[in-house]
Amino acid sequence: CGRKGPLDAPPGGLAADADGSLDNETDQGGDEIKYRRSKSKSLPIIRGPNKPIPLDVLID
Amino acid sequence: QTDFFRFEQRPPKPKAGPTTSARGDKQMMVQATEVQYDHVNERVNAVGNVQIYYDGSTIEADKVTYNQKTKRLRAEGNVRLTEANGNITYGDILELNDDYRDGFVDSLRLETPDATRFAAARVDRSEGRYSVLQSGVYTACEACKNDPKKPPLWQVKGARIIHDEQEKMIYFEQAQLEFFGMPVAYFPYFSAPDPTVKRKSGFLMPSFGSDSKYGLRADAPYFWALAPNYDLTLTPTITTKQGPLLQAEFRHRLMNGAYAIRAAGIRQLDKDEFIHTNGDPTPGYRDWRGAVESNGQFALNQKWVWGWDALLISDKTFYQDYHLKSFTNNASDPFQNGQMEGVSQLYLTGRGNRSYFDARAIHYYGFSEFDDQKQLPVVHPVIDYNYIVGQPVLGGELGFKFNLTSLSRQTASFDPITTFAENNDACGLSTADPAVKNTKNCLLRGAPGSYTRFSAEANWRKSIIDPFGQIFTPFFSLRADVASVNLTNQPGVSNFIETSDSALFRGMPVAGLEYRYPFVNVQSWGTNTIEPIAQVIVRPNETQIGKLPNEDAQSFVFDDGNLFAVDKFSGWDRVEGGGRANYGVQYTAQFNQGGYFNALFGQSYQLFGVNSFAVGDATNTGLNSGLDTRASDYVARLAYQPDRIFTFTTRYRFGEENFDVKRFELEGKANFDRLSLQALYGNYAAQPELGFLTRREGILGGVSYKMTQNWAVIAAARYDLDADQFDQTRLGLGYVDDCLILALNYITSYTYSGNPGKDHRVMLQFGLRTLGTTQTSTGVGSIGGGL
Amino acid sequence: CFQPLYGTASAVSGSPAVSTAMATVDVEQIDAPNGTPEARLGNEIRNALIFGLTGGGAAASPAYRLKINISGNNQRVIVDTTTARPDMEIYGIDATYSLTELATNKVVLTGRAFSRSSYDIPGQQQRFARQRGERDAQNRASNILAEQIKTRLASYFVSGG
Repeated sequence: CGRKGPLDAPPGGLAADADGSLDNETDQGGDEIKYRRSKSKSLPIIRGPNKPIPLDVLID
Repeated sequence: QTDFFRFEQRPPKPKAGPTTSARGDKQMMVQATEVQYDHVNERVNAVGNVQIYYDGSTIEADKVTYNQKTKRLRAEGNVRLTEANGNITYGDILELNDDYRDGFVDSLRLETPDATRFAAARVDRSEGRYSVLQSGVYTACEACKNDPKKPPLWQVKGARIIHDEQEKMIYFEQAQLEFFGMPVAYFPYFSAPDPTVKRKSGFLMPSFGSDSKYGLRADAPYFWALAPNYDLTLTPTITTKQGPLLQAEFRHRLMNGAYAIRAAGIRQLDKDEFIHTNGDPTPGYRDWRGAVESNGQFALNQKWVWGWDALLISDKTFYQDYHLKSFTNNASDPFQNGQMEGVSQLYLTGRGNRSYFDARAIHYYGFSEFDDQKQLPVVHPVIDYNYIVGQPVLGGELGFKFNLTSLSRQTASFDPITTFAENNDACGLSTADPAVKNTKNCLLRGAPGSYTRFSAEANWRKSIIDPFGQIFTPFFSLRADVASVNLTNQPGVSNFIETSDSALFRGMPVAGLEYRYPFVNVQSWGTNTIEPIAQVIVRPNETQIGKLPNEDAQSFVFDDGNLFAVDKFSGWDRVEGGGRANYGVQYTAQFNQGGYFNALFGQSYQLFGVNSFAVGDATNTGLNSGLDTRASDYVARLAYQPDRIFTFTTRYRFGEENFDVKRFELEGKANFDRLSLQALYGNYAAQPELGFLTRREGILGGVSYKMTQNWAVIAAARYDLDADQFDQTRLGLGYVDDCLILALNYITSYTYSGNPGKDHRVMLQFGLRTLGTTQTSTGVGSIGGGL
Repeated sequence: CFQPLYGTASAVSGSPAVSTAMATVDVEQIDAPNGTPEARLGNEIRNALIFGLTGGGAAASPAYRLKINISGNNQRVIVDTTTARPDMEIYGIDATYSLTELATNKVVLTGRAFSRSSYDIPGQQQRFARQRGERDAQNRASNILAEQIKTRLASYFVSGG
């Protein structure tokens, strides 16, 4: 039988910030993905790239 | 946590022993109490807690004989081999050749880092990759401490078990699944990813259940790990009454985000199952039913994300009937109901250090039979933007708040506010007769047409503490609203609100002072704090009441949370005006080890001007709220959390004349190690002018009890005391330990909407750790807590 | 006996006035993934706490770090047995927090706090009004939670913590 685990990042993709469920799971890279309750249990929430964008002027 | 039954977390595994590597050329280093050189047989015997370090791994045993002729190493007596990658192997006899990757082990017991266990009469390890176990056993259950020979809970015995470490797969030939030592199932050939693998294509654990609407049901999901960052899950489902249902989920993770598309569809064989006992068809009375849903979220940078939720569905109760969890399910609902509406939205959200921005376009699809889609608004968009200036301005905190709300609705929505109107349908859509459909009998819940409002508010506040410890907090704010209202004059709407197009402006300057004087008494066990609080607010009267439709401030509860709010309304469509004083006292007992008890009691008084809560708009917001009298009702809160086990809180609103209970809510939670209880009780006096014609009273209770270390029973129910009827009940019995979940849930739903009659549902949850668990694990959320 | 908590005229136990100690607490941004309700709640709670600790004045040089973890949930006590729609809901926040003294990098205080706020859904059907009602209940619950944590910190500093 198979096994359905969290999605991995595409090559060069960014680390996942958190996924939907409330459990802590270790992803392939071994670093722990923190999980927060969010809309869907099956999708990771990706922490964005650390680069400024024009919208940043709105928020400090 | 959300899962009903989850594997028990075992204590973290100790790190593999320190691997001391031998010197230089991988020379084997042997330590023992005694080393005997047997020249005759060219053997070296090391005896007495022997330790051999070689190539990054260690062997420990009572006796180790090294045969120089055959270059074979044999260890005997509680042998322990700790390899560099953390694998620990126990055995009575360990036969290893010189570079001992290709050794023979009798009655080997290989334990992988993921705490799964292979045992075999004989294991051949070859090419450093395959472990071929003859008549081997595989289990993920911890061996019983005091009686290791007792068969573990479940194990898979196989004539041959091949563990391919490179491909990370375990292959079983003539495998037999045994429970408590009794054979339960036989598989000629069976393969499963080894425990270190997180994603692997193949059949996932099937799930079973039944429901009065579709009979027995079996879901057999198949998972394709198409690529590390996208996959497809197809779940064919067989139901006895309604035939096959197909579900599919495609998940895709990109560079800076992820999205998923989910679809389900069925051609119902027996749609007559979806007719109410009174003959009316439920929304489910159709041949073809289905839904397509998608959600996704992408990060622009570390502060900004955008995303969408989209839903296209054939009828209102498709998700409810087939228990398909839509994306936005309410995880803390013990009965695992999804939301009662499908929300499709497109959003852009930014989170700053102290500021927040959120813009959202929303479409709601109601999941109740009684929802009229044309009466639900489409929001295009709602924007909330809060900004607090980082540095103090004039020594205080300066903050800005903006809101843009633009929405439109096709058909008006009226609600009766008298029993006469309710019984004679005086507020129906077609009637227009002002003698009947007027503000005495009905209220306009939703105005037809379109409405756009932009609001901006600046507020400044500063706390000054005088030497005696009194805290003075002057605050000022200036707010302006500009709105464009173009309503359609459907029958009766003009009895409640002007329907001629209008542009409206409203301003509200506020000045006020908050006074607090906290006193503290330090004791050995903690501290007592008593804090009188008073506020005086000076403002002009609210204008345009009833001219602006009320869309985002309809929900209004006067409680301990907004007793000291400068503007008590819950939305921007209303603004609190006139002079007002809020006063109360707060007591907190803070225990040193962290627990606390907190109480608050207070009242509000309309000093001068127009009492905004006594003048109802089209939705009568403010009336019957307790603030609609010069001296308001009393509000109170008690909160008690002594330790990790107990949580207890109540909230009250007492009538200002005779202290009668107008609103009372109680929540109690107790989580002992084997018993957890939770009760939630609400009792709300009737508020006829708001449409709550009768007293509302309900209780939600849940208990979960671990009868033994592994067996647990769970019960939960929601009961409407006013309607004297259950809403839902749930019973669950389950067995859980570190490697097996076996749980049966029986949920009964009594609600009319979507259910032909009482709906009985059974769900079986089954899981062998590392071999697979059923997808539809139910969640008990906070009711009774999980196990 | 009871003394003014923030009184400096009669300093309670020789330690610096409670209010100056409170101002040295640096509230860390509450960790929650962007786009979730907890992210917005995190800002509401943190902003309320920062005003509670500094009174809107300039933040003093930090001597403590406060780290808070929150989790929000939503429960329905009453569900209409005919329409299956709730006509009221209770929004709850459960939090755990820890205070670390920067000089010694030692956790000097840990605690739990919770808050609940209920909101009505008049007429049950208008989902936008329900969503805005929930948002207001979230704000109320955030302010109550911030008040609980502030009181806990004050009692820690006043008892010469």
